[in-house]
Amino acid sequence: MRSVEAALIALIVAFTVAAALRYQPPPSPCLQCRRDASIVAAWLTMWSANQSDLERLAAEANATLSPSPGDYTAPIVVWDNGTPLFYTVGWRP
Amino acid sequence: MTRRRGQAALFAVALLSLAVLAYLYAVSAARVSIVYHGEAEWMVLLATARHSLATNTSLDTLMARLKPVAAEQGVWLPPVQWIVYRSTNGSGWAYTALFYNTSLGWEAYFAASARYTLLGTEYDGLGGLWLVYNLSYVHLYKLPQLAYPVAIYPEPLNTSCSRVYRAGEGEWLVKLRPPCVVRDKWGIAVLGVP
Repeated sequence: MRSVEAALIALIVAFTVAAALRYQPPPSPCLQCRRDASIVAAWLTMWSANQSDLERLAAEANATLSPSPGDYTAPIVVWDNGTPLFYTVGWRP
Repeated sequence: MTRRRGQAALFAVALLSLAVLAYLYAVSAARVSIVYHGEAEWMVLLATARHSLATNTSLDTLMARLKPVAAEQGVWLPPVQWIVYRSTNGSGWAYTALFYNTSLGWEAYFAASARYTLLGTEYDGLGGLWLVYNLSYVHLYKLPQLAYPVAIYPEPLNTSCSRVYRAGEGEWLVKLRPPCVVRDKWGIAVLGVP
């Protein structure tokens, strides 16, 4: 085997392994999971009066305001002096 | 011979890599996409009604502000109409915002109410007059997905002119020095004495 072939094989293997490791499966079509995420978001909207309130409550609910690709998401609103501020909560079962 | 083996190995590895990548792509693309609209979107409406009560801004005005922002953010809102009921008397107040869609049979509401009774007066060491009230304060959140409303009992906040003591679930003992307005964390005026 020539060194150029060995290098190409190493490159392809590295690229494939990197792609497989970076791969994040999309959320499964779990309706109950989506509903649960929606209920978490509703609970956060119900109890939050401002952004710091929201961040604290989201942490308590094991939810995140910076959802990852695999998270189930739902909208939240916090009103601030007549302006609606929307957030997206991410949650995993 | 060695050269051919090397080429064969390279070909095999490339083929295997393609198979792995094609599998990952197929798994990603084959998933069924389900869009769920429900509790979160309805609660957006109820939170808007609560802000309307807190800021004394008409619900029509706030809904008109909400809709374009929601559309911009890609948030679906239930197609509803709304009506607001308010009542006040000497012993309390009540507020209800009802969201409904008669053709689809959807209904949700936010209701808040406070009932208070003057128990007596007190003088502090500086001769200041304090009024002592018994207060009941509750919020109700009814979503179409739930059979019963969710009741929560927000805490009226202490201010420089008031002291709030918990007396039970949704029950408070409030001492205040007029003029004073006791609010909750959303800014809703729970109890005010001019």
